[in-house]
Formats: sequence, structure tokens, C-alpha cells
Amino acid sequence: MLIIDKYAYTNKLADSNPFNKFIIVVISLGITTIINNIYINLMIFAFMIFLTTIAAGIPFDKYIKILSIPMSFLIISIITILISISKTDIFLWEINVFDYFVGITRVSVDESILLLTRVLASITSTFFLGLTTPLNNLIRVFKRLHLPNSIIELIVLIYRFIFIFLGEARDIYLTQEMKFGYTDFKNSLKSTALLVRSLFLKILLDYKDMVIVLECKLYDGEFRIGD
Amino acid sequence: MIKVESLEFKYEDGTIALKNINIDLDKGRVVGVIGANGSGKSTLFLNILAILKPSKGVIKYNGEPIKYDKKSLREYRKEVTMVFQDPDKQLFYSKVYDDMAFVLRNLHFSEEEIEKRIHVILEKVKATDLEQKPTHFLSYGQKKRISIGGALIMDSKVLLLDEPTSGLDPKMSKEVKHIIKELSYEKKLVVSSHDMDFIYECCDYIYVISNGRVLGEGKPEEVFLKANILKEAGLDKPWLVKIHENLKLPLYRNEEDLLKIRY
Amino acid sequence: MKRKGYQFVWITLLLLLTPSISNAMHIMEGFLPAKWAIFWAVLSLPFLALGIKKVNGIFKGDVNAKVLLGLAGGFVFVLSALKIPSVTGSCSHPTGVGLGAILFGPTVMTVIGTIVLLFQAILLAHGGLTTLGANVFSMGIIGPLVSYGIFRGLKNTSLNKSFVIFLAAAVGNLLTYCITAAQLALAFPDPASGIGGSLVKFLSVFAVTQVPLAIVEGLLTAIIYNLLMEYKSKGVISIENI
Repeated sequence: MLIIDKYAYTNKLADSNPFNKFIIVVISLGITTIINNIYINLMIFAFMIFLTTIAAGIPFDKYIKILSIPMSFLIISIITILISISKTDIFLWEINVFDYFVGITRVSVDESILLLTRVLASITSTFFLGLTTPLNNLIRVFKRLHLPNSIIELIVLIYRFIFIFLGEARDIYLTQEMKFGYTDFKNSLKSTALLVRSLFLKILLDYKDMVIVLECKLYDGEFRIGD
Repeated sequence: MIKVESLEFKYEDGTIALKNINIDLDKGRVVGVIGANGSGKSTLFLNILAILKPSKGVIKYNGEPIKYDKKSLREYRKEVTMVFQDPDKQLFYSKVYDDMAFVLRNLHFSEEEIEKRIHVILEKVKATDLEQKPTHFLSYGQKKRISIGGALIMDSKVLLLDEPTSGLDPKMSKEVKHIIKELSYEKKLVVSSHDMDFIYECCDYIYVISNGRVLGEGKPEEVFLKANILKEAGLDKPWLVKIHENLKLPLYRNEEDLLKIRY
Repeated sequence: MKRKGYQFVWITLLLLLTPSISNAMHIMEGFLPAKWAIFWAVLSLPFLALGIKKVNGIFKGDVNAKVLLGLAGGFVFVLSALKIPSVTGSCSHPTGVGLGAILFGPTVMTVIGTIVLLFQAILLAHGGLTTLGANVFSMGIIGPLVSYGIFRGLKNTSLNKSFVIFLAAAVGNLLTYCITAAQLALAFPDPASGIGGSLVKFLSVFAVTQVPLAIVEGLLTAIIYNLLMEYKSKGVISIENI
């Protein structure tokens, strides 16, 4: 289900130094958000696409699919930014509604174009990190950055436990679906509630058992990872 | 090594889970504990592990009763450990190597020593190629082997295994059986399982538990012929016993012996 | 006694956190220019620091709490990754669970929320690294605080318990989306009507999906709470009464 995670371990750059990838991405994100130059953003955008599809070998069609995940937010937001309402005519293009003008101003067009390029450059950068760097390696980077130990340990544990819950959720969902649990809104609501309750209880039950396992493994309070 | 004497265990709400249990783990190299669900096997194992404390009776390790202070428990857990049934609850890391190293890092072993031991153990559980794999990419059978490895790495003297072959396909099941047979030369093993054929094949002494009591005990060839005990405990017979009884063939100890003789 | 205490952590955590985090109104990567990205990150930092301090204190007292919080974090993340169709046909995310006595406060939730948001950015393409600060502020700090406040404030009144929970979850959700709209408005003021006008724009555009979602998630949370109380009365689980 976590397709990005899968690619992270199977792409051509999976074993390369995570620090390098991290630094490249941090620098890109810095440039896109600080310098705010349309052409530089577009160059970064192209560069990241190259790195992701050619260097790392992520299939282009899957990559497009992943890129489209946040697209609806982008499109809706840009349209919202583009359109203004005013009593005076400050517009490039407008329509008349009663006393008001509804239209697009020069300023908002410039802003939108910049925003679009910035977003494209940024998401391709972050996706490059997510698609080519396994989280296990990224955790080593976090350790080197001296993130607080408790945060790192929680990241390690949460990452591991995510998959336990994903598996359970999928099984429950499929079973419910076979029993027509999601045929209409009311059913969906009830089924979802039951699913969530099961997952919630799983926290309790797994916790009980894990405490025993940890005792046997001489757990002393720390979840150490090597370097 | 481990003797359970007159063990009684009562839960907080008063239900008696185990009554007058007497078990001597020295009676076999691989001791089987069999019983229906709810018979008290898990509770018994947790008592042997000293996770639970008996309400009455005592558990002796090397002749001495178990002490339940933190330090003694820590030492005890180095010698007696368990592989639980659900592998997902025994894997805390997303990388196999890190998970295998967990116990040893808790004991402050050096990273060189840890690396050596992991290689050895992974070979034992036939999982050398899984060393750097993410845990969530493993199949159920692989996870089961890794969780066995995670317990083996402690180099304990006694290893308890709860349903080691449950959920495994025949090939994986065979491999686990093989691993257990090899391990029996190095440590004391205590196994619980619903797979009667597996118990019959791998164990050399068996305890039958039912309703919190020991219903019967003995060598597999003896215990599995006692139909009334098995019935009361809600258990089935191994197929080798069945064909012995129904086809009037001699009682074979394993499949190979049977097939050898026939051909 | 301590053992029960930790059960409250995540129960609370889950009530306060999941309505906000699961509801996918994340500001996407690169959306905010550096000035605002840094501003929200800096604003969130003290809350996060407080949360970390609290969490460290918890861990000192109970070594097993790490696993509990880890499990809760996995739970929250998975909830936010599930997609269930909602009334309007757009996809929404299930959320909300039962309540417990509040022992450790919403700051612990900020820690879990931050980690989950980080994972969402990297593993789910939801939200972003530059916008982490802004998203943490709306979904990991304000949302939970509001839900917590409403719940705490109304729990001892004569109002029906389920209704209180519905309110806490739904309003927390709504507030989250309002804060997000404000964050966007500040960064993109309208040329004609300024920040105020921009706020109105964003609020109205996103209201179409966010308001029904908030209601659905409020309902969901209330139903889940009732289901859990059902189990509690049957003795399946023991969480202390709220």
C-alpha cells in the first residue's frame, strides 16, 4: 500500500549515501522557498525529474501518478489566488457581477506562476527524497542531525508499527467489504467505526503482549540503533 | 534444569488457571506441552518464564527456586527465553539486522561481536539473505524464522516455543522442524503445538494439559496410545499412531521409518 | 495506577489528534515561501519542545510507554492513510476514537502529530517538509487543543456525552481548516481585498469539502466512542470512565 516506501528500497539509488540525497533535497527546498526565481525553480523541477526517473529508475507513469496526489489542492488553491473581487477595475480580465468586478489581476497571475513553479520544484525534491531513500537510512541521517533521542526512538517504533496496523486494517476492510459494509453512506460510517475500534483495541492488546516480549529480550528502556 | 512443583496459578479475578502442576523438564531433550485452547498452556509458559508468579508452589531452576527481584529475573531471562506465536509482536525494528541486534545491544555487546553472532544465528535459521531486509517486506514464514533467530541470539540454555509451525506452509514447516531438531542438540527445548504430528516427531517427552491440570505424561509412543487422555484433553492422534492402531502396522517413530520398511 | 494512566494517554491522544491529522487538509510541499514556512515552524517549536519534555518525563517513569506511544502513532498514521468515501463523494479519512481522563495534556499529542505529519510528507505525499511547521501548528497544536478544550469544558455539563464528543471532534476539525485558511491568506493576500479578503476566499472554497468532512468525522468519533464504551461495559477492556 505504501508504494513510495516500496520504491525507496528497490530503486537504483536505494543504497547510495542518504546524507548526500538529504543535502541535495534540503538545498533545493531552500532555493525554491528563499530565492523565488521562476527559472531556477523550473531548472530544479527538471533536475529532480531527471534524478528520479533516470538516475533512480522510478517508472515514469507511476511517478506521474504520485505527483498527482496533491494536485487537487494545488489547482483549487491557485484558482482561489487568481480570482479577486473588487469594486474598482484593476483587472486583466474580468466579468461584471452587480456592482462588482470578478476577475484576474496582473499581480495574482505573477504570484500564481511563481507559486506553481515553486511547488513543482519543491514536491519533486521531496518526492526524490521519499522515493529513493529508505526510511531506515533516513533515520540514520536524523540521528546524525542530533534530533532528540526520544523522537528518533518513536520514529523507529512508529515506522515499524505502521505496517502492523496497515495489514490489520486491510484485512478488516476486505472482510467488511465482502459483507457489503460499504454499500451506502450509513453502512460505510458504521463499518469504518468498527474498523477503527478494532485498530484501537489492537493498540491495547498488542501492547500487553509486547511488554512481555520486551521483558524476555531484556529491554532496559532504550531502543538503540547502530550507525 | 527446570522443575515445576505443585504449581498453582490464580488470576486477579480469582479464576484458577493452573492447579497442582508438576513438570520436570529434564525428562526429555525436547519436551512437548500439548492441550486444547484454554487448557492453561500459555499461562504455564508465562510462569516458567517468570513473567507470572505462581500463587502456590514453586519453580526451580538448577535446583534453586526462582527469585523474583529485578536482578535475578534479568539473569534468569538470559538463560530461559521464549519464541512467541505471533512474529509481528516480536519485531520492533524495520530492519532485520537491527531487530536481531536488539537483545545484544541491551546487554552492551560490542558491534563486532554483535555482527558475528547475527551471521551465525541467521545461518542457523536459514535466513542469511534476509539480514538487511526491511521487516515489513518479509513473508510470514520469514518473519517466524527471524523471530526464532531473535530469541536464539541470546544463547539461552532453555528455549520455549509457542506454536512454532502455526500458519506455515508445508515447506516452511519442514524447515522449522529441521531447525528445532538441530537446536535440540544445543539447548533444552520446550514446545507447545496443536500439530500432533509435529509433536510426535520432534518431542521425546510429552505433558498433556487439560483444564489447568496435567492429565498425563510420558514418551510420545506411550502418551499418544492413551485414547482416553487424548479425548479428555480434546486432542487428536498423530497419523502414524492412527495407522498403527487401525491398520495394525507397527508403531513407527517417523515417516521415514514407515516408508523405508514398506519399500 | 500508573498502568491505567498510560491508557489515558493514547485514548486522549487519539481523540484530540486524529480528527485533525486524519482530515487531509495539509498545505502541500513548497506552497509557502520561506518567510512563512519558517514563521510557523518557529511558532510551533516551543509547543513541540514542551511536548518532548513531557514525553521524556513519561518515558523515565515507565519504560514501556515508548511502545504504547509508538503503537498509537502507527494507529494515527494508518487512519490518515485509509480512504473512505464520504457524503459529498470526495474521499475523507476516518478518525476519532474514545476518550479517557486527561493526564498528560495535548502537548504529548504534538510530538506524535509531528512525527505522523513527517511520515505523511515522505511516505504519502501529503503535506510537506517546508510546510511541516504550518501543518503541525494547525493539525498538531491548535486542532487538538480546541478539541481538548471543548471536551474538558463540556464534559461535566448535562449535555449528552456523545454530543460533546461529536462537538469536540467536529469543531476541532473545523478550527484546523480555519487556521489553514488563515495561513494561506497571510501568505497570499488578495490584491484587492488584502488578507481579510483572501481569508474569505480560502474559507469559502474549502468549506465545500471541509464542513461536511468535519461533521462526518464528528459523527464517526462519537460512534467509535460509543462502541468502545460498549466494550468497556462488557468488560472486554478496562479504560477508566471519563
